[in-house]
Amino acid sequence: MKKNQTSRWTIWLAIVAVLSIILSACAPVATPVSLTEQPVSQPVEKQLVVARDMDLDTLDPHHAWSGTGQIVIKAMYDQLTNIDPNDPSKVLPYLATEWTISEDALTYTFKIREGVKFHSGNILTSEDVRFSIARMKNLKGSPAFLLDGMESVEAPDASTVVVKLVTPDASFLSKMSCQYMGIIDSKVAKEHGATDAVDADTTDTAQAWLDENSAGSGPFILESWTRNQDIRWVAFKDYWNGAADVDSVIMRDIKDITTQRQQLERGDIDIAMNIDPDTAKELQSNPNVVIKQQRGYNQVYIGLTGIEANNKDLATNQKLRQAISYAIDYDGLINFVLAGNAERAATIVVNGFLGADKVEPIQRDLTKAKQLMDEAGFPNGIDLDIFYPNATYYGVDFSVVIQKVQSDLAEIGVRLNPNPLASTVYLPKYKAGKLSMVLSYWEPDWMDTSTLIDSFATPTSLVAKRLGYVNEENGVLSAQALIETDPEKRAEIYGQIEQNMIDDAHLIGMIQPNVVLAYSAKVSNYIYNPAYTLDLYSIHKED
Amino acid sequence: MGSVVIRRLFTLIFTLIGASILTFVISHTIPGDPLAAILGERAMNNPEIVANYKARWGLDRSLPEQYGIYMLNILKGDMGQSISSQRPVLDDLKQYFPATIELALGSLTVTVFGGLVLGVIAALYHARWPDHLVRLIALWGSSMPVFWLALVALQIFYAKTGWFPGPGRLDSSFTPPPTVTGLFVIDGMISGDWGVVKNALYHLVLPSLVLGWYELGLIARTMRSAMLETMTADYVRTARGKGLKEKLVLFRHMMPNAMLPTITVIGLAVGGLMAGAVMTETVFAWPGIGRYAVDASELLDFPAIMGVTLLIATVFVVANLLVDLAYSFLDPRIRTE
Repeated sequence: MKKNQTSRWTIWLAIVAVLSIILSACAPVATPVSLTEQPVSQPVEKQLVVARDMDLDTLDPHHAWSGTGQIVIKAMYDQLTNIDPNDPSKVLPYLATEWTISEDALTYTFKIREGVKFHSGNILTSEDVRFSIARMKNLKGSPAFLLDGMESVEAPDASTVVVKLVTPDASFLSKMSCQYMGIIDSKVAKEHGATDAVDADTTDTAQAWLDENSAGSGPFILESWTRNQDIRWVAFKDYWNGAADVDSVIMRDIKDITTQRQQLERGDIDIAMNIDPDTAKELQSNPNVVIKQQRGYNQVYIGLTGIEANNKDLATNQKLRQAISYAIDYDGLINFVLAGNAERAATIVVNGFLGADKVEPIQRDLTKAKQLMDEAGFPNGIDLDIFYPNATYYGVDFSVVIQKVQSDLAEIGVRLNPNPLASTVYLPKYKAGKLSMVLSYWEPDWMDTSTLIDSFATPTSLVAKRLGYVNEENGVLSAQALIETDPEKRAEIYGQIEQNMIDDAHLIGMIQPNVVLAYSAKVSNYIYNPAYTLDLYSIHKED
Repeated sequence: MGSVVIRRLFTLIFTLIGASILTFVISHTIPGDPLAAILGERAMNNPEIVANYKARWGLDRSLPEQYGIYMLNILKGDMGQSISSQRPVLDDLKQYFPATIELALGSLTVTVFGGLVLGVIAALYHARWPDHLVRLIALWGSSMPVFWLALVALQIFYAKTGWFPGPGRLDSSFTPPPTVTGLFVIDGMISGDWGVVKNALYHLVLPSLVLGWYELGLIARTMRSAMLETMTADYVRTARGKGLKEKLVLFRHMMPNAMLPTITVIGLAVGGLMAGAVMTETVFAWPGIGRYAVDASELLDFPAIMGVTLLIATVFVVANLLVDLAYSFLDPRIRTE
């Protein structure tokens, strides 16, 4: 092919054009500093930037149910009570300054804090509290079950709220600290369609408005929520407990752990909420980043056995279940497989909850396990299916845990056949009791042992029913614990239930994963809050 | 020309109906329960709450009934309520789609310009080093997974060197401009906030390159082989034989003919960009339709899955309609037919 001067010209032009595209992409724009560090739109202030994989459904506290909701709803709405972040079994006054409980433990009378302002400027009264509790119950949204045992709520005067229960519930004050029990500004909310009427589930239209505005008395006022992008707040200067240290907060929705890590290292974010233990280890050498591990209150356990799965061996043979519980190498699992990033929980009652220290967790004992296998009638071993969500919860990769359990159980002749399932497939099957043996997870709904006992231990418990676990004594003890007001005696009762659970071996307590905190060295006072995960109000940031 | 458009619009309707039935059946027959994903375990145990949710989302009806209701509502312009975001799917799409359009426009620029130019260069320097280089670039782009490319790009150009901003559409210190089009660059211009415009453009570069690279390789290779074919064509030899300048031969005879197969690939590339957006948007924390689709499918949010599918199907059909029109514009033979 013959080429003249012109064609070469054209080709060179083309090459220059492509190179310039590539270069303009790969090289820094002439003045990158001015692009990133001198925003025109907003004056510089003390801004806290949090990155989180956000699973936020709504900002309406009485409709919401999500992990991220714990943080963002707490930022805008106050509750009657609060949980001591260092001891989740302790309930502290918050919007309620004090309370009295009637002799029969059925009537709670709260004194409401005076002079508390809503974001609108309205003063918070007992009517707002009554309205909020009634709306929450009547909306029948996801968190409405928290009020299942409530008979009535009344506001006899401007600073008093009286709640009557159907049955005694020693955990009621703890439930009142849940972020979903947020008190909303009833005047403002009603103007936008909120109602506390019995038919609120069909007539209340305030959710869309509450997704864009905060109607609370909390430390932060909602500025905007752009789904999948970010949520922005400014500090509420008239907050009754004193304005927050930071002027504004942005929580950015960053799904990817690596991206969160990069942003933390670059100093573009102050707190990264989804750093896993492995990434945390790599970050440890960075002087601008603080890595801390704290006790978490979630749990990974083995459940035996699905009532509908009808596995007769597991269902009726207590010795077989016990053999399994003695064969697992818990220490090895936690220290080697999970690199020490977890604690051992003896039962579903996690360490730190009332009564957890009353029992000793089972330790691996192969001789005993083999003996139990013989007594159970399986000297030649048995084949068992185990089902689990094919996912990572609380930083624990379930498939890795399964491998370890599988090799541990092989030593006593239990041949485990692992069945990973997608979470949306796993949960409905497990809930229907169709899975004979599961590796599963749980997080407490409120910060009192009763939620765990109530969910797992009694014959009417939702998970116990699923597992076909019936222990009548636990039911009696649990009812006793709910009317027992002396914490030490309650702890003793829960201890008895826990011991029963260990002996019955329908549920094998395993892993209580630590929580990894990863944040900029400029941030202080960041502790993991068992009830709200991250209490934005407590955070301080250096300029 | 008009008949082409009308015929295509008919195709669009049938494509959408087909896509909707397929998606509806698939998303409803795979085992799983959206309520499990959104309600807490304890709330699931409360029959009143479950019944309330099922009624609210129409999950208590039969499958054909649900589909019928859905399609009737679509005709009324109602795409239903997303189960996970608890608001109309249309609102969600309106919010997320502009972010994807902005990213897709950025990528398309990289893809089309880069691909065409590289393809031409490779053909003109057939079997010499520029050709090999282009083929290498094309091979890289087509063979590396987008999410991996995204991670590496961020690691090098953001985390290590700081040349480019991190994930997201704007730095945290910027407030998004008032929404008019939803495209930050355009909205920034409208509101006269040039800081936002610059920052938004700056944020666009890395994800556009990453997302565009795959299709760039495809277009460059198509353009290259099409060019090679036209080079040996009779009309090119004739053009040269009658003494036409090489520049004119290239731009008047070779390129327009080589463009025809390439245009088809560009039409398909739009579909590829939509698919690639899913991973790119996740890594770059880009709040677009791709991320919305991921979230929706994880939670089995049927209305949202349907909404995204219909939207992407429409984009795909419209892109191919534009390709057909471009075809008849570029090729007089098709125009007269």
